[in-house]
Amino acid sequence: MPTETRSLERDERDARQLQRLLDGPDWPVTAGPGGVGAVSTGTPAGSESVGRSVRVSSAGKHPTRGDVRLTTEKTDERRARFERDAMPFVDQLYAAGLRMTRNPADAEDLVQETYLKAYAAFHQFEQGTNLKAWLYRILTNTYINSYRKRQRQPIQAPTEEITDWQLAEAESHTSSGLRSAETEALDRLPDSDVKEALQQLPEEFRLAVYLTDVEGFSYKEVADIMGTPIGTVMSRLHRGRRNLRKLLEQYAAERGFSPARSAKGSTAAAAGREV
Amino acid sequence: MSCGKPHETDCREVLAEVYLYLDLECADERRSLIRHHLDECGPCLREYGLEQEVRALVARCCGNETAPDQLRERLRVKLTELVVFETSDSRELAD
Repeated sequence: MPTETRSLERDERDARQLQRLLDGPDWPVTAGPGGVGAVSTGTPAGSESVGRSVRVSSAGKHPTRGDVRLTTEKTDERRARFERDAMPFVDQLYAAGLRMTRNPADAEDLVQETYLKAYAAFHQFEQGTNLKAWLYRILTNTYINSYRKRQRQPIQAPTEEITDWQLAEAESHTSSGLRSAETEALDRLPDSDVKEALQQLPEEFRLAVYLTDVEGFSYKEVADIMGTPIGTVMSRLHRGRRNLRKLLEQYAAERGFSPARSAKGSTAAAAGREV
Repeated sequence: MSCGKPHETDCREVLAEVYLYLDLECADERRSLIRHHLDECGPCLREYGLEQEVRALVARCCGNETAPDQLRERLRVKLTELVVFETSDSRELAD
């Protein structure tokens, strides 16, 4: 767990992040690799030496940034509104952050950055629209723009390349006889297996599955959050679930929950291993 | 295909849309066609049951986390700091 040193370092990094954040363009930022909105957490060597003094005067300093509405709502009112409306999502965003980054320290950082960005842009949030989806969008963009870059995991294979799953899928529904017993076998899996299986999915699939299954977002909302067309969401969801199911079936078999493994079962296991 | 009986809607069609059905993304008309099919086709129903199970497992196991107290506390502090900077409109804040 984080030590004192770690939290000190973190504070300094926060200060720098905050500086960039508030110097940066307003949300929403056009997403994209290395896009302008990227808060580069991995490059502490900023040109300006911020140190521990954070310059934050979003009103007045940058008159062109359209922060006009700052003056219409008192800062403490806005903060109260933000805390009341946005803070209740912290557990959910943290859970999503954990599934994205796969480790608690990064998840914490990611959630913190998300909240700071959200707060800085909160005056742009249109009241009455979907705050949760808005927060998830910031979380997802922040993750994609900065955290993913510094993670050691290799870049995931592009969606289009995975074709053997589709082949496996074509035959899967012709198989019969393993079903209700299979369902029970899956149900016996420990939580850790399910998390592990989800973690195995390529990132884009994982996100689509998570946002739909855990958060219950509609396809349209997931499309907005991930910045993709709905068709892409459906495709990712489809492949993600298909793959997830194969993995779970494989885990259940390894734990001896599924007594009879058919030839198709081993096909599924083989496909699962290529995730 | 799966149960050998003729269906109004083909099994393949139903299974292709099983996620739409599961996610409540079907149009009403499609939805009742699929429900009707599932009612009379055992293999498709089992398949649907499995997909439903996987979805439920993910929902049950993957989203249930509690953010550490230290994160909440840090957020509270950071947000307060932001407010201080903004209200004072100071260019620099030395501490």
